Amino acid sequence: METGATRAMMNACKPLELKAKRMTEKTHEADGTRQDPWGVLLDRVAQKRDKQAFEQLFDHFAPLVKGFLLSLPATVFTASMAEELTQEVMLNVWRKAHLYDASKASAATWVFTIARNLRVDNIRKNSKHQNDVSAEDVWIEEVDPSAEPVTSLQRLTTERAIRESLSVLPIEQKQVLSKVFMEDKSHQAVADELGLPLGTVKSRVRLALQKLRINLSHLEL
Amino acid sequence: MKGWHPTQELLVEYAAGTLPKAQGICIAVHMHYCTDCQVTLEKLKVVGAQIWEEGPPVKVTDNCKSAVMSVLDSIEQESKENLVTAVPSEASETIPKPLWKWIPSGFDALNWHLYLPILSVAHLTENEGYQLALHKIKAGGKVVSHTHRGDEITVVLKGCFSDQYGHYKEGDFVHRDGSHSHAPMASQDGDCICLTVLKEPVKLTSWWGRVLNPLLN
Repeated sequence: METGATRAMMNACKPLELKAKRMTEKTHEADGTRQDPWGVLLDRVAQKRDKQAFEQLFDHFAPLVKGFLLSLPATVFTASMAEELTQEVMLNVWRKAHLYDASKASAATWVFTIARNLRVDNIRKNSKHQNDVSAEDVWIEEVDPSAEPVTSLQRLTTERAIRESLSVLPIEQKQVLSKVFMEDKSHQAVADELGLPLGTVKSRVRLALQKLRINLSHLEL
Repeated sequence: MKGWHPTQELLVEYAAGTLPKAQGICIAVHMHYCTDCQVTLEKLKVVGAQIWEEGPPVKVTDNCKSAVMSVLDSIEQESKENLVTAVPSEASETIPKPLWKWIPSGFDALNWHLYLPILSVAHLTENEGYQLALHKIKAGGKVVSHTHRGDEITVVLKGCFSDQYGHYKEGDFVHRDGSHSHAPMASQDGDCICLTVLKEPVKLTSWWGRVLNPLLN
């Protein structure tokens, strides 16, 4: 039976519980901050149009964007074109910072997506093919609203696991992934370049993704 | 395995951005229906981003940076309203978002070409040598057995169909190459509408002719 005294105790405990909950949240937040300082800077750009925060993002990401663009054969982009496109990517970061959602992606993944889309559109810009389809039509970030929400902590845990496995990946598996992601090469193009059967390239990618604990069980081989 | 999904190869190339855009649209449409592939793809993007972060970085000139810093004040945040793709009419609401651009007012408003009593086709667009179109097979209709020259990707948008390899329902992703011969048949209970992507023929034979060829032979 609930007595006045126990009720009083429970009431007294409530603020403590709340405090503990807040503290846990804070710890998680602090954890998140430690894991993704770039995300914090992006938030500052979004909330306060903070130029210093943007400058730090620029110093970190712009050279990576330029490197990404110049990973293609030299005939695709000259150094000055690469700089122009890097500017465009970074201005998009400034323009779209408020759309960044830390529960969906790390800042790096988000910037990578912008750079990838811009590169896709510009690689094929001068090709003879018609180009009425923009990268943003294709790489739509549509997420099922009924899907379970992922907290930024869960996401960080996944990202850390991928990072750790990536650092110990056998070199031949890492090489194949790098060529596909950085050099814009299809599996077939990688196979041709390395003089390997297509099946070998595919199985290297598969082994790599298994080590990165990416579930492929629902996919066709 | 539940349902039909893209191969690992296609999903990785989509994440990397190397896939032809028309094929990429098929993946985006499939993901509208498939949470498993959405989750896999989110992770593949993280892999791409982490490989990217490892570099190598290439030094950016001071001019490049100062040019960016100096224009920041003149650049507004992109307003969220501008980003919402033109909301489609009611008729298109159930259609996957990546297709709204080409199907703004529902399937019925499209320009359908009837070229067999049971089969009509609506052309959506072409890009990088790929044709993006819709195929509609009438309920119970059976298309004569044919092969494809080159890859064909089909994503079921409405209804279902089967061939000798399986049964395909909404959201299923079917990838066939020239070695497959099939005779798709729509189920009895309703028309089947599919998104298809075909590589254009090298020779400029008509697109219809190419599909009709096996029927005329």
